[in-house]
Amino acid sequence: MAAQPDEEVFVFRTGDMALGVLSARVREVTRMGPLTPLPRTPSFVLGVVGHRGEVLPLIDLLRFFGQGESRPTSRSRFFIGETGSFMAAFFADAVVGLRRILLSDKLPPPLGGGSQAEFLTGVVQSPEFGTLNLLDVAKVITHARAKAVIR
Amino acid sequence: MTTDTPATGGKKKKSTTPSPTPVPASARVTSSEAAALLAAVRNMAEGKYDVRVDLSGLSAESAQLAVAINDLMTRVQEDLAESNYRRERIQHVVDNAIGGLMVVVRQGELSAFNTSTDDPVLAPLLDGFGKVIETLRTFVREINEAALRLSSSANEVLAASTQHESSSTEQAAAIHETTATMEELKHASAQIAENAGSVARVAEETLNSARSGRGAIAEFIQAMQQIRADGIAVSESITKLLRRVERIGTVVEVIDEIADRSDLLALNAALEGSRAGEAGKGFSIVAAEMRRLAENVLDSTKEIKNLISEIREATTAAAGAAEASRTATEAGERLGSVAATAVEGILAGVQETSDAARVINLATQQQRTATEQVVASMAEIEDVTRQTTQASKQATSAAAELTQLATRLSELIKRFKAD
Amino acid sequence: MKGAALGATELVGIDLVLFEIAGSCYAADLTQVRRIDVDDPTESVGAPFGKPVVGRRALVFGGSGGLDLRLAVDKVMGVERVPFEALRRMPPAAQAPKATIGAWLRGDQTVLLIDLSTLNPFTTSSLEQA
Repeated sequence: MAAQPDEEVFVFRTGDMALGVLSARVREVTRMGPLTPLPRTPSFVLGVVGHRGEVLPLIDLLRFFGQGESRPTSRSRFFIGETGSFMAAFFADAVVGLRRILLSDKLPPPLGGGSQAEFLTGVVQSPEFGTLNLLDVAKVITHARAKAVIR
Repeated sequence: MTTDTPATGGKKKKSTTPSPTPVPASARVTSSEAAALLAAVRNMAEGKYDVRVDLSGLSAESAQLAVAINDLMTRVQEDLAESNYRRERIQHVVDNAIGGLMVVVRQGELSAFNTSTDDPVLAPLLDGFGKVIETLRTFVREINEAALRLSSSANEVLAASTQHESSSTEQAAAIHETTATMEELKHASAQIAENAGSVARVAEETLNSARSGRGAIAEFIQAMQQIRADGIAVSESITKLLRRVERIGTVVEVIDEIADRSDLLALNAALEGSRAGEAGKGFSIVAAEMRRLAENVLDSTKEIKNLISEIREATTAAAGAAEASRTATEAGERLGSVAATAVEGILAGVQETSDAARVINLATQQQRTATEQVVASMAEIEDVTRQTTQASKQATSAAAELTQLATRLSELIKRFKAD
Repeated sequence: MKGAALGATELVGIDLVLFEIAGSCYAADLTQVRRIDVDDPTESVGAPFGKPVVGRRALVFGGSGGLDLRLAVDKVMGVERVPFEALRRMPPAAQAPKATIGAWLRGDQTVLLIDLSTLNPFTTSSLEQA
């Protein structure tokens, strides 16, 4: 069987959502450290965390997508997504791991999915996760930065 | 009396005193003259003292004799008169005395006898009578008094006797009643003896039951102590187990932590491998395997943690149960000892009851004997009482008679007026 | 951090005043603080970090035009000399308020760094407008 074009995604869950991020955009997965809340910030920014000498904003994707609120615990994970020189930490309730998905299986994000669809590169139906939403981390970070710049 | 000489006699005496008249010297007693003198003497002998010898025609000698006879006749006539007079007087005194005596006898009037005389001959006699009467008066007075006393005494005796008679009748009734009561008592004591007997039997049975109860309680207490000891051992084991489980929990936490870190490391290694492209492929496989292991470990530790929490729950429940058991057994022991004390009390009480019932049984038997004796005695007493009653009746009638007699005596004595 | 306050110092570090508002820890350049007011814990910049819980103290600093401005705080923990290497700029994606110019990596903890000179009586209103 000839090798089909595929890509590796980092899969995690937050709330009821199963999300996938291109592994190349994931720098590291780590445990939840001390969080410093920020005053008067959008609710999806939980605060800032220090990681390997960097101060990173911690983003709650549940809030970002208006799907509810994550509740961090000491055993919670966050992964560091990067786009160019910009980085942000994303909260994950549970990390599933790395998975390879066939590009042929990748479907475009559902139409009329509202604001969510804007930040997805596509969806994959899999028996393991049901609907796996493929997240465009760069777009999320850029969106957050852009908002900040406007402000 | 000598002064009371009849006048005639005096005259004749005066006329005879200057005698003897001289008788004519020449007188000689002829037969005619002697016959006349003899007649005169014959008259005298016949008590014809008033006839005198006629002197006329008599010789001197006869005249002298005739004068002497006449003088004698006068003298006898005078003495006779004197004697009659004295007889009259004595008769009078005696009649007086007799009259007094008759009054005494007929009327009992002793005080009325008051006859006196100056007659020296009769005086001592009357005096003697007076003394006799006086004595009689004294007697009468005393008898009177005695009769009064007798009457009163007889009355008292009668009263007492009547009283005694009624008392003795009452006594007889009382004795009868007592006898009946004693009969009842006899029956009652027989009943009591029977009851006491059954009490003694019941007490004996209870005693046996209580003894076996005591044994059972002792066994129960022993069992409770054993259970408590076992419970303590169980408790200690549980505590030990809990401590071990806690240690296991700590170890599992450490394992968990290590597994979690391993998971992260493996994950990041996989990411690193992924970035290395084709070159990192093998590395990625190893990392994935490592992650799988770490996840297995995490699953296992999760299971262990679940088991530990189950064990903890179970041991907590067991500890609770052991504690409850301990409390229960302690309560059981306490109850057991209370029960033991109670049973001891019951035993003592029943023993006492049994003893008491036996004593009662014995006592009532003795009582029955005594009662029978009393009944017998009562019968005797009843007999005696009956006799006493009889005697009392007799005494009463005797006393009544005596009273009557005393009354009569008093009446009789009353006829004599001593005062 | 463009202010002369940080740039003027020739030393390897900077003196920071540590304070707490509504349970969060903040730090500010000591040279910006004129005094700490104990008797009058009022504020005049619209509570940009939330309402203090206790509000016993106030940091008094010079605003634009030389006016005394006041920031009410719950607690002033002290002053600490911090090496420059421990300071970081605030990532733009965090969308932090303008006054929160950076962070001090204090071991595990991240302490927000405040530029008091950016605070003015309209801070809050301008934020709310955003």
